[in-house]
Amino acid sequence: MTNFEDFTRELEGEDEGKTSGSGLAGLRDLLRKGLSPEPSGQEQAWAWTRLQARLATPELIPGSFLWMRLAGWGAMAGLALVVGWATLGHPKDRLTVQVDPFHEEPSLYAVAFHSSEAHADVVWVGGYSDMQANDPIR
Amino acid sequence: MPMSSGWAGIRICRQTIPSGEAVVRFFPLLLCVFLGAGVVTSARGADAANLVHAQLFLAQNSDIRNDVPKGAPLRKSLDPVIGYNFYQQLGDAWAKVDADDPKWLLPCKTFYFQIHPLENGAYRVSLWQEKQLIVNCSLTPQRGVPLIITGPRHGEGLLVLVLTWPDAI
Repeated sequence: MTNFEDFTRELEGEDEGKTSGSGLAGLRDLLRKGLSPEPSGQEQAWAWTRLQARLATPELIPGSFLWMRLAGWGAMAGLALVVGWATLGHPKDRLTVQVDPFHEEPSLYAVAFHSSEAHADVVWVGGYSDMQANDPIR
Repeated sequence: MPMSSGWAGIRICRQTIPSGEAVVRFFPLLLCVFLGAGVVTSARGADAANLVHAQLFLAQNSDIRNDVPKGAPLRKSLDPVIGYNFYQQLGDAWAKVDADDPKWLLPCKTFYFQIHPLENGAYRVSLWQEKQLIVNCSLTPQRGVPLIITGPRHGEGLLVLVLTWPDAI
């Protein structure tokens, strides 16, 4: 009750111009700011330009919409690569070679590779017994 | 500013950066198209690569009959690997290899091949010298990519076996 009476007294004093330096002066300032004239068209245009510039630069913040979308595409690409690898096979396994382990010449060896210069797959087999020039090839 | 104006702003942003946004937006679609094309190509390769051509050459530097002239596609493959001046063809053979049906391919009676079709368009190629198996290799053939297998030295030259898949993709 005492507070209410103090407040009423202060208001009455303000109306009569007695309490110029009290807390109500701040309230008056706020009111003055609120009643200030609206920003001009030029100021609104600047504000709109600043907003557009801000929206046009997507930020890669963890958890943001763009970040989550990129992560989703990355996961899809990874999945597609795994499926492609399983379907088409690994390129390194495209050409393999093995010498027959029961061959009577133990010195026989074979190397397989792809020659990009020759644009050919090559199986280089070495360690054969040489054939004489007059050995027939039928 | 009302909520609808904010969404309009995001739409404006999308339209202002079309290239990067379009790539991100259509990347999964492009990926699926390429992957699908790869699978189809692989399946076609398995069907179409079954015609096989085997050739046996004697490569020498002395002036013998030359069956692979310079400039021929096969010569461009042989020169960097084998490096002789003349290639005399001693024999060749053709075969059509069907699924589950291994074929013998005899460019001559001394050296010959056995071709086994495998899965996904691959083949297992076995090279025999008379009655003895020399090597087993497995490969997935490609169009215009011959398989060159070196044989033993013969006199001053080198025997070379070549397998090609003319119908490979």
